[in-house]
Amino acid sequence: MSGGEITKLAEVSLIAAARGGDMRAFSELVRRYEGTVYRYAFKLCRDREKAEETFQDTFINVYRKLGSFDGRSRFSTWLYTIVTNNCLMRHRRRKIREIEESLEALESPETSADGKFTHEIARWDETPADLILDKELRTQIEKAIGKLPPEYRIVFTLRDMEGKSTEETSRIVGISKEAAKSRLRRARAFLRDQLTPYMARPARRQPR
Amino acid sequence: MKCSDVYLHICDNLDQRLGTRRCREIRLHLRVCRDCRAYLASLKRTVILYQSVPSPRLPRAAHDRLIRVLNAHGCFPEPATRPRKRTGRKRT
Repeated sequence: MSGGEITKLAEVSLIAAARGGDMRAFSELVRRYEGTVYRYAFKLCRDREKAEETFQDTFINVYRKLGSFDGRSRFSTWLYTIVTNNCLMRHRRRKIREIEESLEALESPETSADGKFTHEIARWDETPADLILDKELRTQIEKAIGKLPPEYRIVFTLRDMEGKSTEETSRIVGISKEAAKSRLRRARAFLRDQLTPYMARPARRQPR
Repeated sequence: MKCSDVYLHICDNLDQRLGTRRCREIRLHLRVCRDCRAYLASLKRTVILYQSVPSPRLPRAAHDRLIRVLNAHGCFPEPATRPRKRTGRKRT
């Protein structure tokens, strides 16, 4: 098969050819997915060097494990799973878990006996996001997402940055759909709280 | 439905388009609760803000290093490189 024919192959045929030992097919798979894998690895690692190590490990794993890919899930789902596992393995080696407790606390904000929030919810300005993404806010965003423990950052990235469904996210991470929803809820609440000092108007008490 | 229930379920569906009974209850609650409307609005904007931070493109050098690593693992029979952009210069 020529190089030109390889680049036109549908994904299923390409994977089958690569599994059969066709190096050009494997090379084409790398070409098609390397950008996606690198960007996703960077979003999880938040560091160019670590992202590149994860990126390399991922394609080595793909090469070694392609024979075990059974096609029951989409190839991209399988790839995301490998990147996610590589990222988690790297993190576990470093064992950083400083703010896990503060995320647990976000599960149940203070409410009164009748289920109402006891604190007023801060109103954010309505300025369009693209106008207010200045350097300071952007730094704050980067810091906040860096503080999220990887288990939460992974779910937030898959759902809100990569646009994956709850079902696909839970499959990639290897958790239940309910656990994926819970992690997403905590991650969004944490990130929102981190930005509130930059976004909120001065609080106004409201009569209840 | 209470604010605490809205907090627990609002993340499932930020735009509230689903027609499930729970979504209808959330929509009804949002009509009368300013705090929950403010919370939902800020959550939506949180997601938009994080989405608006650009991700880096794959650097050419990182691609080249990947190819070298894969070659070292025997993945390719010959050096595989991305085609470079044409500069218009003729080879001598």
